[in-house]
Amino acid sequence: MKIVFGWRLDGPTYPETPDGSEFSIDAAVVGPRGLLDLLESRLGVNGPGAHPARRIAQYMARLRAIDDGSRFYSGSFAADAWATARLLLSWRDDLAAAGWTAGSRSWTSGRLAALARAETLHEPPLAPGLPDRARSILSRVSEANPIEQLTLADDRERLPWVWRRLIDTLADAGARVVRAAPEGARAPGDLAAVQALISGGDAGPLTGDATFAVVRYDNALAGAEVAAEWLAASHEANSEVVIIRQGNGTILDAACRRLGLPKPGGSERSPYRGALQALPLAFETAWRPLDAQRVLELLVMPGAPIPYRVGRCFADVLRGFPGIGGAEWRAAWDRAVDRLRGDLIEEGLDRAQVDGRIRKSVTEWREWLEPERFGRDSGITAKAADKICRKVQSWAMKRAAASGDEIYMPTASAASDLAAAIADSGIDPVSKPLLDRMIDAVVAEGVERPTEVAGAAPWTTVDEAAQIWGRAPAILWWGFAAAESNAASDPWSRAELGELAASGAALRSRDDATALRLDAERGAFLNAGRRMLLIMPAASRTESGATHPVWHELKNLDGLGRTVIEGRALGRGPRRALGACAWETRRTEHRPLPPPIRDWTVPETLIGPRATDSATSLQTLLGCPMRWVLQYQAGLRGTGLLDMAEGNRLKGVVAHEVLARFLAGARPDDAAGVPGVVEPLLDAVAPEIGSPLLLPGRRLDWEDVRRNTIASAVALSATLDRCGLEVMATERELECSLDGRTDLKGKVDVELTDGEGRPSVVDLKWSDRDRYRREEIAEGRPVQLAAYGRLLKGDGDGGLPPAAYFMIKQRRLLAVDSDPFPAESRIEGANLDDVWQAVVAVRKRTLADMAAGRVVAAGVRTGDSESQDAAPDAAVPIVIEPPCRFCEFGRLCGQKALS
Amino acid sequence: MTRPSGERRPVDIVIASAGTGKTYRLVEEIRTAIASGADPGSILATTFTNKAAAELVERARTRLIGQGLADRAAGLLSARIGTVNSVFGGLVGDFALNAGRSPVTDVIPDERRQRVFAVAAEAAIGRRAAEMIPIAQRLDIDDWAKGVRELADLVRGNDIEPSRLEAHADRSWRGCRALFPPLSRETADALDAGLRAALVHAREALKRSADATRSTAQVRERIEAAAAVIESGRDLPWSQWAALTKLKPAKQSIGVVQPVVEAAGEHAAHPGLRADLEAYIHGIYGAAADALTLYAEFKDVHGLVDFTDQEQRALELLDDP
Repeated sequence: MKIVFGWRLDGPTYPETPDGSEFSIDAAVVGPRGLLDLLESRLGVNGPGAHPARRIAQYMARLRAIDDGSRFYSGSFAADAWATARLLLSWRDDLAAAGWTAGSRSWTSGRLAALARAETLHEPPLAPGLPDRARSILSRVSEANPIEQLTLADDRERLPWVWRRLIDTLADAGARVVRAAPEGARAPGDLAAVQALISGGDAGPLTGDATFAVVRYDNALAGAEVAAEWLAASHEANSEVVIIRQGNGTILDAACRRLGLPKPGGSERSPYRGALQALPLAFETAWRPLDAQRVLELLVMPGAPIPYRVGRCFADVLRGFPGIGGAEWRAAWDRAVDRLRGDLIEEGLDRAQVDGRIRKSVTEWREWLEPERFGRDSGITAKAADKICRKVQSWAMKRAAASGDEIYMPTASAASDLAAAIADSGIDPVSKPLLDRMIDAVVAEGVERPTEVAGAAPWTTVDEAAQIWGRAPAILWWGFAAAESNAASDPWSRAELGELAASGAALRSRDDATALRLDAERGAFLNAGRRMLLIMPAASRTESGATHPVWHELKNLDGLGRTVIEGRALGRGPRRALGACAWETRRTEHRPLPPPIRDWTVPETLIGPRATDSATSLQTLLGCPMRWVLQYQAGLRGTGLLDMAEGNRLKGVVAHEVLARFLAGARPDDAAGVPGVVEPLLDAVAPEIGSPLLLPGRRLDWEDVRRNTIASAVALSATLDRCGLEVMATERELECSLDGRTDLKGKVDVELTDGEGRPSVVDLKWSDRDRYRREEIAEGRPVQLAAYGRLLKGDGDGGLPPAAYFMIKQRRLLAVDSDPFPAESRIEGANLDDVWQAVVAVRKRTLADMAAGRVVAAGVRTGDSESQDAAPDAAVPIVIEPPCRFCEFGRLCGQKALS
Repeated sequence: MTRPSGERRPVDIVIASAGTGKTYRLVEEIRTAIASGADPGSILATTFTNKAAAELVERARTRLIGQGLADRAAGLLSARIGTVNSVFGGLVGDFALNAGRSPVTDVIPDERRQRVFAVAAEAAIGRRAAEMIPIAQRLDIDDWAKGVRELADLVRGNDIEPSRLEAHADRSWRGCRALFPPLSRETADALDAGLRAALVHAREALKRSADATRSTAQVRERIEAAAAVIESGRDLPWSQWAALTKLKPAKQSIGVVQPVVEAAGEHAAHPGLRADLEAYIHGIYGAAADALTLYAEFKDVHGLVDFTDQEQRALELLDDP
């Protein structure tokens, strides 16, 4: 078997096979991990090692076992056990790679003594890391070596001890070990001079012949554009190009896509990809108080654990009433089950089968939506955490099998690794910060964004220059900069290094590691065959904040300036040139956005009346017919899948429900007794429909709701008593006919009756100011009050019953009529019957317009609109301001584009 | 430039305007130090920007390589050269175990820091909410929590010990109190009752009045609004008391309105206003102190640091090497 081995060759490489062909048999290009996997599978020993997170948890358990409070790490371990274990495990692995034998002597250094103590424990276990696997395979390799030729991409002397030993053992067992040497010297022009300099030879002056060119940019978009144009111009056969995608891959992908090229696909792997979020979300929803936002995220994530068709029943409720267990939530359960039942019946299942499937699904859904919850400060039991991991794993495996989408497999592994890490750590219960750390660690590797996987392209891509180990005809280096900022310094003191050396451990210095990497990156320059283009960010734009170390070498070249082009110099004009290499660019014409439209034309009779309208939909119809059509007739919804009730809306939802329950029950005789009734109601209602208010950091908002709800209950109760009003019902659903074709439906907040049995209605409102509602009444447009009055009147004779708003925060009534309400609550300006007549008239006229094919987007006020000149229409008996501020369709009618 | 390089003292200060060669001078210092045997990896240099740090490394390495000292130039890649934050962060990370702190020294990005601090501040603010909300309402301060956050930010930025805030609050209140006239001899309840009676009387009188002027209509609206607040059981904000002293009805109604103006005019001497201001100032300072303590606790529990912590910890390490 022929192997090419290099320190950074786990992952994409160029060439991809030892002989540079497209396919190979009995040959491979591998890094340390690949070499071990290969040897282990050939020799029939244990498979790949444990997930790093699991090893950290195991090492954490060992460190805890020997921590007597006076260890060198004790303070840090107490502050942050996970991070301390992670750091010390990396030290321990470095030592293992250096051939350290913990039990070989007694250590003078307290740090080495502590690590040696941890190392020599038999329990808790520690799964082998890469150096352990390498060490344990040495004897097997010498007995049965499967490798015939081993080509080293790196200088053997720079490698850690254990890898040198492995190479030597393979050589002793018959493998021919050779060093891959760049061919070099065959390159033309400036590139040859660059290679001569890097090889340590004499380099002549550069001429700017474009065999070697550097484009330096301040703006990554401009840099990506040059890279993409260079590829599009096809100065090389692109099949001979190797792209080093070190810079921001998403930007390069976008630039290539704009020119119709395949995407190089450099998107970073991210732990934030949808599927991988199931694991953190499953845990985030297991804390008390509940973070309803996380439940909503779980419900709407791609491939959600609860099928979206039923999941949306819950999601819709959470958006309006964020919490679990309230009447709305229970109704959502009923709807979800009904929906599933309907689907199953449609599938042709018999009743027993349907019931069985429903029972199973309900159990599963409940596990996701209503799992056992734990206090944020007390931590979760290891058993419950394990259960969550199993749940996520099982879901991900099923999804992977059903969808064939590989994105679910990393989630299944992460869940399984997390379960193992929790068990290995021996910690129970697991605190929230520690659990968060563990979750971060198991999902840290992340997955690529599915839409940004590389497209099929003639070129080859690698992630870093060190992955080019052989001749590459043309190289495009996107994001030529230092890959990482200065690493931490060596942790060991001179005395410790001396002690280690005396024990026979040969610890590699950080300088060796730096040199190994730098040599491999120099190799990319030396391996360039005909052409090399570096797209280089200005120093201040790099992530590491530093230019590439090879650049410092190149700066000594005579005539370097002839090969460097500043990005902004390329940005003008239709023709671009890099030395002898030039191409044309296309100019895109500016096209203005379409103007907003006020008067929309639709086919006649397309839009008719709805079967049911509500106070809100009537208000919408009067305010903006277009919105009414989009929302109620077209059934469009805004994109705010994750928008949950917040701010005043959330506070209002809770206060409203509490007051309704308070009024519906037996009220205490005096004001002093009211808080004693309202407080328990607040505590019961908040988790059901206002759970965000209970989260850490929200106490101020909660206090606002609590205080104002109690005070308003006192005030409203006193007012009702003073006026001799009795509560007949709260939140009662009423219905009446609007015009024979449409029914008016709605829930009336509070129905009252006076001593003579005359009804009246109160609508509860939470708002920081009562000005809007006062003006609404004063200007004769309280549409909602009129609608509630109409509902309450039903089929009875006479005028509409009196109606008032009760402003919760202001603790006062705003009434259209004074009787039966207190005189000081009356706002003059409206007569409820007149308002209702006006609503009916305007509705009729608007529906007639629609039937004739005309729909007005009332918020659009364009200078050239004819209808604009006609407004305001003196004949319109009631004018409602277009509700554009809270409208989600502003971009459809164009109103938002205007603003 | 003050002196040619080569001659080094414990502390040298180079002051020069832009473009006159300060970086060149530093590069020369680094080159000379390395040429005379210093370990390149042991050099520490800080700059204010990534760009300046990159430039410093670039120039120093380019020079060393140009002189055939490639190995020495390679050593410079491990030197601590960077912005103040990156160098300090590195130091704090390297010595975290010695200091008994979390080895995680990733600085919380500013946006997240704001959020973490907001959570800590909200918790502190929440603890005082029941006490502060009614006071803030009377003082007509919409967002008193903002005052807490701003004060806490200033305290952090100026490195003031949270425990000293109480003394600051006392001083602030003393300064504020000195601006007020002597306290009224009446009790708070008597002054409140006086205004209420004046408002109700004026409201009823104006209802019956034939004065239809615009200015009196406006006054009537103000009086009705103030009376409605009091009658709904809420406290009339102090700003409303002050506003009531400026009522200007038409001449014929002055007599009716004047008692309101006079009763409201007592607000500066009102014991309630004095008590509210004192409690408000102490509440804001106390909540800020709590917020800072909670923020520190939260960072400890979650292994987070911010730039201020990083600098402080690096300075502690440098004080006790």
